[in-house]
Amino acid sequence: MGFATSKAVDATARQPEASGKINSILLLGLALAESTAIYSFVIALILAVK
Amino acid sequence: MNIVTGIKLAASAVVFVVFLVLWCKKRHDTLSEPDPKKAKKKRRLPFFGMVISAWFFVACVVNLVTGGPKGISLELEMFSPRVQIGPLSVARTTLTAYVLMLVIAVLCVLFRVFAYPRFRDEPKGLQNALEAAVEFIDKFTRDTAGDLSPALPAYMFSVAVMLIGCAASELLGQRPPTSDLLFTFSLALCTFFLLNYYGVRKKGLFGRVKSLASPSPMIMPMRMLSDVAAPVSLACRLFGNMLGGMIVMDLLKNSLGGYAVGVTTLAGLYFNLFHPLIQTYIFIILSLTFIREATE
Repeated sequence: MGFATSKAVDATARQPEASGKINSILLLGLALAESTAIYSFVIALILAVK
Repeated sequence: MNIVTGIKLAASAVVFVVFLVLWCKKRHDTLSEPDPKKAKKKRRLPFFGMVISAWFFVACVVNLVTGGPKGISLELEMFSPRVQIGPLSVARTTLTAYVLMLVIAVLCVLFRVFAYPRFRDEPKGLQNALEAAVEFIDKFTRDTAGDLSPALPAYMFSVAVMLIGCAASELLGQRPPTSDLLFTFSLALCTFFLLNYYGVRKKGLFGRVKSLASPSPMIMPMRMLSDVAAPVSLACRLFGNMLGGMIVMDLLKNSLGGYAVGVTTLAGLYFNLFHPLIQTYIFIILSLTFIREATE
C-alpha cells in the first residue's frame, strides 16, 4: 500500500492535471490490496462465531 | 420506559424547541438584511443546534421502540438477532433496511412535492448540491463503464444513497444493515445480474460466450470462475469493512463505558462517516469496472 501511494504521489507530481484519474485508480488498487485482509477477517469471524 | 430515557427525551425536545424559537427569531431579524449570505451565517448556530437536538430526539425514540443497545457486555455476532413478526422470523438488520427504505421513499416524495416545483433555471442552495451530485455520478459512470444506459447512473446513485443511509442508521444506535452478509450479497448479486445483462445486450449471447473463451477455449472455466467470484468479493469486502468498523466502535464504547463522550465522537468521524463513504465509492467503482469488463 505504501508503495502504491508513493507511486501515486510521484505520478501526481509529474502530472498534476491527471490527479483525479490517478486518485480513482489508486483507491481501486488499495481496495483490491486490502481485500485479502478483509477476506481473512471474514473467514476468521465465520470460524469463530459459527 | 425508565426515568433516564424520559429525561433524555424531554431534554432533547426542550432544546429543540429553544433552538427553533431562536432560529425563527434570527430569521425574522435578518429578513431586512441586504446580504443573504451574511444573514445565513447569523442563522447557522441555532440551525445546527436544531439539527443535533432533533437527531438526538430521533435516536432516543428509535432506541425506545427497538429496545436500544444491550448493557455493557459485548458479544460478537456474525448475524444480527432475530425478531418474530407474526409467522415470520426476521433479522433486525433486515427490518432496519426496510424502515430505512421507507424513510428514503418518504423523503423522496416530500422532495418531489415541496422542493422540486421551486427549482429555478439558476440553481441555488439545495438544487445546486443535488445537480452537482447527479452530474458527478452521471459523468463518473460514463467515464468508468462507458455509455450504456441512462438507468445505470440512477441505479448507482440509489445504491450510494442506501449505503450512506445504512451508515446513518448506525449513528441512531442500530446495527447497520450493511453488517449483514445477506444484505451486501444481494447488492452484489444485483451487480452480477447487471454485468451479465449489459454483456449479453451489448455483444449478444454468442459474443459473450466467445469473449469468455477469448484467448483460447482452455481458459474459459477460469474466466467463468473469475466472473462468479466478482459478486462474492464485492459482498465480502463491504460486509467485512462495515462489520469491522462496527466492532471497533462497539469495543471503544464498551471499554470506555460511561466516559465515552469525546473519544468515540472523534473515532466515529472516521468509522461512521469517512469509512462508509470510501466503501460506497469503492463498491460503485468496482461494480462499474466489472460491468465495463463484461461489455468490452
